[in-house]
Amino acid sequence: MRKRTRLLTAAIVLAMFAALGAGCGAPATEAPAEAPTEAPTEVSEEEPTEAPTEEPTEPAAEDEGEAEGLGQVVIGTNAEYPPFEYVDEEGVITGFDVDLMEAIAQEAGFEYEFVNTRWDGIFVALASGEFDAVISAATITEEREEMVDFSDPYFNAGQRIVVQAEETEIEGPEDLAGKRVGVQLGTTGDIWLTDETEAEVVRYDENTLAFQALANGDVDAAVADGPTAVDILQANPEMELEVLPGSYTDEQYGIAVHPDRQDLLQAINQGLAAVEESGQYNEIYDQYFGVE
Amino acid sequence: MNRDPIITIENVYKSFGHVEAVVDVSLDVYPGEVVVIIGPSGGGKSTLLRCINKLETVDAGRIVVDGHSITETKNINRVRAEIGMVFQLFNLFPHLTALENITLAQKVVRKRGEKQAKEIAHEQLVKVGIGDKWDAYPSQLSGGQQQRVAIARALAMEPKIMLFDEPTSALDPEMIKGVLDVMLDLAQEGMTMVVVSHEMGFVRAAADRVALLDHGSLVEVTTPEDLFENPEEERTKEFLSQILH
Amino acid sequence: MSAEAREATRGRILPFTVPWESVPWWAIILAIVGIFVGWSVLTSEAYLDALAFIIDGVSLTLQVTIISYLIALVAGLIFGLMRVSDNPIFYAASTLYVEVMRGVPLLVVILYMGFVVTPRVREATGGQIDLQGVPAAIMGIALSYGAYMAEVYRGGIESIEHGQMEAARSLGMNYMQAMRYVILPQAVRRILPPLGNNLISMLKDSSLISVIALNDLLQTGRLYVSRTYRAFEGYNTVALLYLTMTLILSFAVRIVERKAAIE
Repeated sequence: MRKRTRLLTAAIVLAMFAALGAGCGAPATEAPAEAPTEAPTEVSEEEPTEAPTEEPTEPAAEDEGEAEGLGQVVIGTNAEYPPFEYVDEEGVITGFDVDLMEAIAQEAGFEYEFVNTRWDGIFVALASGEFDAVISAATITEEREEMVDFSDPYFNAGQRIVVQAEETEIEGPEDLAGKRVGVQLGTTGDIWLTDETEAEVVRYDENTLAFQALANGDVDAAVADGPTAVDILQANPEMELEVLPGSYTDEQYGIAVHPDRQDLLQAINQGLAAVEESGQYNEIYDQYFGVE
Repeated sequence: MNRDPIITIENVYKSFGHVEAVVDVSLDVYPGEVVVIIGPSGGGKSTLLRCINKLETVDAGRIVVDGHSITETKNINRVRAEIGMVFQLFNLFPHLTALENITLAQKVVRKRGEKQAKEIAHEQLVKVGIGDKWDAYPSQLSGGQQQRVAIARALAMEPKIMLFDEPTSALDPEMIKGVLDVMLDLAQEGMTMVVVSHEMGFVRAAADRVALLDHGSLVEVTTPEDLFENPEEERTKEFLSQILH
Repeated sequence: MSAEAREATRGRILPFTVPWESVPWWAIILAIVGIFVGWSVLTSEAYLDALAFIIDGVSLTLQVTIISYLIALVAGLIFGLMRVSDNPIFYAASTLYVEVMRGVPLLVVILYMGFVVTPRVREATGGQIDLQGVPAAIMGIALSYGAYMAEVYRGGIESIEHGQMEAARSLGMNYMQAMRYVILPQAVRRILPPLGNNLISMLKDSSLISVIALNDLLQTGRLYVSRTYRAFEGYNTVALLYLTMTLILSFAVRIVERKAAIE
């Protein structure tokens, strides 16, 4: 390489590392400054279905006059978690959360789009502004609340233990001591197993892999949110697994929102309340969790 | 000659695709004889030579060396150990010293011990005139020296026959004599040699018989004197007129 | 000033030359960055915390890499020889192996080893052979890289002139002896650079074993991030640890190459 090119390259590399290192000293998890709770704007004051509109849009659909402040809401989700969110045979993102979100958005009157992303780091992505909200069967926890805001809870799920049908030894969390237990890395199930049991935690990228490992005998048990566990079993009877009775950890799912978007948070909470009142929530629930 | 030939080449054919390299060649070589094969380039001389130790396989015909049928034997390796070959491009093993080049096959093929192999190797190196270069690598030797190591390497196996494939064609003129002298000594000691070469001086000094190969066929086989003074065939005369200037 | 010096500095603003060429710029930059980073780490509690947790993953990463590499070296030699062989069965089998293993991404191979091969083998042998975990990962990486190594060996062997094989055979050596004493010693020296590069690639690719739930460096890093949400410190630490390992290996490879060249 010629002298000048070498020098230039050296300068660029040095600059890159300097930029990288600039953030080194600063702690990454400062609590974001609290957004002042503003008086709600027109967005939430008016009744969605009765507001006069300027554009000739359908009243039940997204009402531009209403949702002025919100714009196109980008919602992140990890569509690998049936029955809450998953990609169906035609490649469409479907599930309980998807249907619920559609109902909420309709009631609140905003437009949105889903972005399918990894679970790992989804809250970090939300906090850094990659999305405006996240709905992904996400349990409301204190640690997460340090980074993002949650809506009112919309689902209560507890962790459940899944074992092979022929399993006789394992009946509860105490029996997991010393056993290999599969779980999805970073989920509340992972944290529960690590902190509350003496199990040897085996962390997979996805629940499906953990359950497959259980069916193959690579692990002695698997742990996942109740509804997810039930759903996987229903879909794969040939795995010959069973869900143990008993639900551990009281887990509320919430919709996570970027702390700077108090307007969106309000809209979602109101939409959620409306959906629950109108009975739509029960409809959607029955559709996915049927007779349980 | 009242002894049986040590090499019998009978009606041998060899082609590469459409190119006929050797066409119906028959030749006998007797023990202790030096036969030099001459002829125009591309005439099939090297190919014929390489058929003798099966570096090329014949398409038709028979070759018998020291009682073993080259074409049919199941153990060509054992037969090859009795046939020494010297190549135009030396083919020394570059990762080994001169001495190691010579001891390798002795140990691996003849199963000689380290000490014995080294002794023989030193002997051969002295014999070819470069005893002091035993620990040099081929890259440190001149062309002529490398070729002499190659000859020593072949001789260390104590073969019954030595084949030379244009041994001096890749050498600078001043080194040619050194190598030819070694070959001359070998001939005088009674080694059976088949040599492909253009060196007419060597032919005159050492050859018992000369064979002219042109376009794959054997044109004439005579003694050196007859070749130079009374060539019979037209092609022989043509060839001689081209190379003797 | 001497005549040469005057000549050399003609046209310059300052009357002296700096020996640009002999200064190892890359080493200096790396040293500066290293010191900078080292200082940041040692003065930052977050980084020390991350490092203390994540460094546990290094041992599995190194173990898997080294064992897989050794196996791949041997497998590569065997299949490489088969690839240059005249025997149609050897040739066909090795070509099949090479094409398949080079055609399937390593991640898929590892998943396949972990979720398809392991349970089948366990069933078939009644539980005697259990590849679960590290053995499956090592097999996956070794088999996949073995295919690439086989082609490297083949290239090395084919680059040796025919005259070498002819000379060896004409002395009475059989094919295997010629390979062992003449061809391979020369071929291996020529392919040391790509073999060394494969080791470094393998170290980085070993991060894929996290997908079958093995606690290597990457998995440990991800676990840290999932617990503390410190993605910046977490992944910076992971990257730095990988970089440190690959740099050390690069040095080692370069030393080996230099030693071989001298001979």
